[in-house]
Amino acid sequence: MSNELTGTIKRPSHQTSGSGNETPITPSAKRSWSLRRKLIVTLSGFGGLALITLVVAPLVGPTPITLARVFDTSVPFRDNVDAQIFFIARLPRTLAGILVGASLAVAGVVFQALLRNPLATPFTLGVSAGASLGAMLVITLGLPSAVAGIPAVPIASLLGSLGAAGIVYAMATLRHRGLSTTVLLLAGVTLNSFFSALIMFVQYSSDFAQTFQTVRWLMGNLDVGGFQPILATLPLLGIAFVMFGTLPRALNLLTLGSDSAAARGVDVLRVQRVAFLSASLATGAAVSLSGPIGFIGIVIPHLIRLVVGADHRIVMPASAFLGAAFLVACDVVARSVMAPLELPVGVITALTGGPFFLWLLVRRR
Amino acid sequence: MECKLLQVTNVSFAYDKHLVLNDVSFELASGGLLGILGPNGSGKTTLLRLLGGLLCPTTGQVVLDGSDLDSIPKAGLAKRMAMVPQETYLAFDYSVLEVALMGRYPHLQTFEVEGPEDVELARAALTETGTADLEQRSFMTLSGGEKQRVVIASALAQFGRRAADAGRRPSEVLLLDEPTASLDLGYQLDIASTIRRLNKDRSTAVVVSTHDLNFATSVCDHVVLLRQGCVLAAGPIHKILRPDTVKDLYDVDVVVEQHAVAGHLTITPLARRATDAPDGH
Repeated sequence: MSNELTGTIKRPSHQTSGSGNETPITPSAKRSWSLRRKLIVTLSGFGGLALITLVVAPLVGPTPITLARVFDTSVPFRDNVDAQIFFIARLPRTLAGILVGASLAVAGVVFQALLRNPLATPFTLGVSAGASLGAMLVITLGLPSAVAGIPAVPIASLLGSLGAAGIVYAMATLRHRGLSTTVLLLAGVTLNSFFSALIMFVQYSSDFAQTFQTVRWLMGNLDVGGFQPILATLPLLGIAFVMFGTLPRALNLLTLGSDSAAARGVDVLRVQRVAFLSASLATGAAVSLSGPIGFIGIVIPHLIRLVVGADHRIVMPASAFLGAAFLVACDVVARSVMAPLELPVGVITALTGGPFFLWLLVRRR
Repeated sequence: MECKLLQVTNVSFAYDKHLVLNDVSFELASGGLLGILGPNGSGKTTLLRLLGGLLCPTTGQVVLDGSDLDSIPKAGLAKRMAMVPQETYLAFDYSVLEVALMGRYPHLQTFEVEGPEDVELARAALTETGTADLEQRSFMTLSGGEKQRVVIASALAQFGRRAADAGRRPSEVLLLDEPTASLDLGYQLDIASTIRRLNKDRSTAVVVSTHDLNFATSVCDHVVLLRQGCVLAAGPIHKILRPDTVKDLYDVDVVVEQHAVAGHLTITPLARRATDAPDGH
């Protein structure tokens, strides 16, 4: 009854031989079991989907290849066309898709929770505009294309994104106790337009070849040209994902508002910092790898929420898996549908995901 | 052993340069029902946030059970002090049970998932506020009064203790900010009776901020009158709420009388006292 909370709750084992009117433990045990079960079922479902895409995607494309021939050791690598296509062209691309898709999807979830705004995307706060500006400057100023063996464009775009994140963060913390998410949002949106204007200016003042190159970069592209750029972003994404791992339960509470979260023992400022840093880092690293690929960061989180509910402990990993699978699948379509011509993958993500998401929205309401 | 649970001593607070609270002092007895009364903008919410440890006083101190609020770890504080804001807006859609389970946050490790005991405690809290049958509903679809009671349940779930945490139970403090501000009469009575019952059954100390005098008289035994950040008067409600103090607080002429049926003071406003009352007399 109403006094249940005043004393301590007895463990189930103590109740076995008790009087008949003890609170039955079954419904709660079932519920807790179902929470764990939900976690396991959803994650193995979406994880399996991501795994299948990872295995199947490199085999699909305009040139049919088979795994048997790819791993046929009797043919030397330089004569084995299947192995070359698999290892040089398609596998890096698939891995890049997995990393970028997962990063953008989770970064979307985190930004939405941090800003308490379902319309937020990884690109809302100017992180990608900063990245684009960095890339643009390297392309149009004709800077050396590589620094110490690492291509300059990804480095410049990473620096651009981190610079943008730094400015926005400074704006939001400078004159406020704690971190003002309102200022964060406004400063981010302003910086976004400011950088976009600069990008336009740089584009306008560059020649045709450079403009073509920059436009292609801005469309996003998973053809990263080898394993090296992927390996270069791995440490950054690793740090970001470790930070993501500490967030889910605190993000659930932030949904109530920062006062209510703080009153329940959440260190709100620390959580906001970790959320902002990790999501910016993941976005910056992903964009430096592939250029800005839109749509994933807003649609995947909402799609997942429609299916599994709002609990970030499920939403975050499920979004990572679905984001990865979705982007890789879209990339397969983008490079196959008009082969040998390649469509920008961002076109496919929006054209296929958009209508599906709208259908899901209409069906659920 | 009538000990003072919460002591507020010479507390002032300023947002930037704007002084919101000026030299505020009062006490809350353990198991007490304290109302913080005052017009809009008198600093009630700020005072409540200070009591909840969400803000630090610019000067002065807030002491809970002998220790300064700043010195108590956040999770430890959250296990015995809970706060219910005026309105709760969820950015994303959670079920009622999920919202109640959020109160278990201070009791869980970073990667710990709520266990059967936590679910049990969250359910018990929902039962205490009469919202147990809503547990699978989406929080967003509830009415204002239902939401408020679910949020109170979530706050109560913070107090619930598992078998492993046995020992002396520290006194609990529940802070409610304008709990009835947007509720109709029926829900106001629901909230009032919920608060009184919690106080009686669990001896939870309750601090309620409100501008509604009749709600305060139906719930509180002590009041603090706050006007423009200063304490006008503080003490037992029967001594403090008089026509002259209410006049000072709201610039309104009132009749204060003990209502025979309701069993508490009632306040009937008569007229605005200030010069701008052209019709009336």
